[in-house]
Amino acid sequence: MKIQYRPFEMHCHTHHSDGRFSVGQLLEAAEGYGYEGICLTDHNTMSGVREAAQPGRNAPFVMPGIEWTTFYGHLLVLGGTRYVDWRFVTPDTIDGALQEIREAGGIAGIAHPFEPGAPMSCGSFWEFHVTRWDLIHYIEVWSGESPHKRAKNRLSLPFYDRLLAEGYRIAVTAGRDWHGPDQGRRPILAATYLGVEDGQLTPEHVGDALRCGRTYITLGPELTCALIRDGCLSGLGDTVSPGRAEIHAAAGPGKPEGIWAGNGAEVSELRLVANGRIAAVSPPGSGVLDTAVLLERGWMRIEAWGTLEGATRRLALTSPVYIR
Amino acid sequence: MKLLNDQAFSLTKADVLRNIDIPFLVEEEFAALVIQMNYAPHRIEDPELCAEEIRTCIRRYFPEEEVPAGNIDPDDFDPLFNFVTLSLDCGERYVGCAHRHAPSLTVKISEGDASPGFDPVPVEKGLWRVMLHVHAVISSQVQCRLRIWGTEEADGEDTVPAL
Repeated sequence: MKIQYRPFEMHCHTHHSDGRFSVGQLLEAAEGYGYEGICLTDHNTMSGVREAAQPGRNAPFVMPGIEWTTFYGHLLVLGGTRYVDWRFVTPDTIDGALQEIREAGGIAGIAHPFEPGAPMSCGSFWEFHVTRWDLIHYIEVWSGESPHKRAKNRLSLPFYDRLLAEGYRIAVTAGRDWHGPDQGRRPILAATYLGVEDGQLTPEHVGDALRCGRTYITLGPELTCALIRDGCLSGLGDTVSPGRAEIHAAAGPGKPEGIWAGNGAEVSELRLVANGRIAAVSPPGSGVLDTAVLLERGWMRIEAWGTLEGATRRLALTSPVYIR
Repeated sequence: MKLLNDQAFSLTKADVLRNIDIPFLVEEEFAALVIQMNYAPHRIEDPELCAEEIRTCIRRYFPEEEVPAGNIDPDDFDPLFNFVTLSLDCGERYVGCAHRHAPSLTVKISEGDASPGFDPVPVEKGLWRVMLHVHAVISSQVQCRLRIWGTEEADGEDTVPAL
């Protein structure tokens, strides 16, 4: 089995809720930007999924989903074998709802946890009292177009890192919360790359990528990351034991036909971040990090830093490798 | 056609975060079910009220020590709107939701076709349920009207009187 990373837009709306897209327009726009898959996540309905499944429609791949748009936060629910009711969940009953989603075979991800809520938007701020964080598969750490400019995203990464520090295994995602055509604009967009078995885009393989934490988010560079410990090769989402290990990471330019190439991001260094601290840095100007490190219990990820729109920024980050 | 339900609601801030359950009985089979709902006002026209709500929310959602207020443009959140959405069940089956920002909507359900956001289902005899979801009431009151029709024509939305 070979893991291949594929670019996805993880959060999309159509006229089946408050989007300005038909399903066909959304798919055409996603394909035009170079996404190989999307998650169709209309507010509180999956009726668009039926339209996406029309015969003759092949690309991009559509992962069935729904955005639970509750009064207390928005939860992205993907896949699953049956509908789970979104309407009666309260801050104190969220664990039961997450358990029900898990039992139905669904994937649960928190959308834009720090989006301002009512009345500025519709219950978007995450106010649920989750205690079973093991039932959350992913968090949308980057939300919206130009995610590097959004105040809400400044709060999301520390929130995510606190959960990693507490020992939870949660994948990182970006989601545009895409509601309509760009009409000639060229926004700065992110992609979530999902590591799917043998590159196969099926609901099962996409679900497995998120369950296993094989994801990274990027504003431009494509990343590879491998860890060798005791002669065994590991990747994102895997668990290794503490001790000496080799890290091999690289940032590539991404596909020239994808919009991320047009973002104009230039990588200046790769960082190995372990338990929130920089553990190693690539040589200046290099997008390659080959190093040996002593792994301590916790987590580690790769971050690509560089210039975008004239400033030095985090351009990409991976879900962790866990050290237990 | 037959009028199955006709109700008016006067919503206040006390109704925010409420799901208002509206069961109705379908006593005969129809080719289509047509649900009309509207509410007013939609947009908040009082600039002072909007500014006060936005100031309060910025401080609630962006702690000053983490995101200084100067980094947030209140205009990003202006204007504000009252907001009510609607979902539908047929017996134990969830049929769908109209999560749209327009304050006036018509939903048609039939076996072969349904409005966006809803599944096509036959309009069978039994207990159905509309649920209103009150997301935001910013003005002092929101007047909401709901009417539900059963029609003999599958394209029944073209035959019911305007709300």
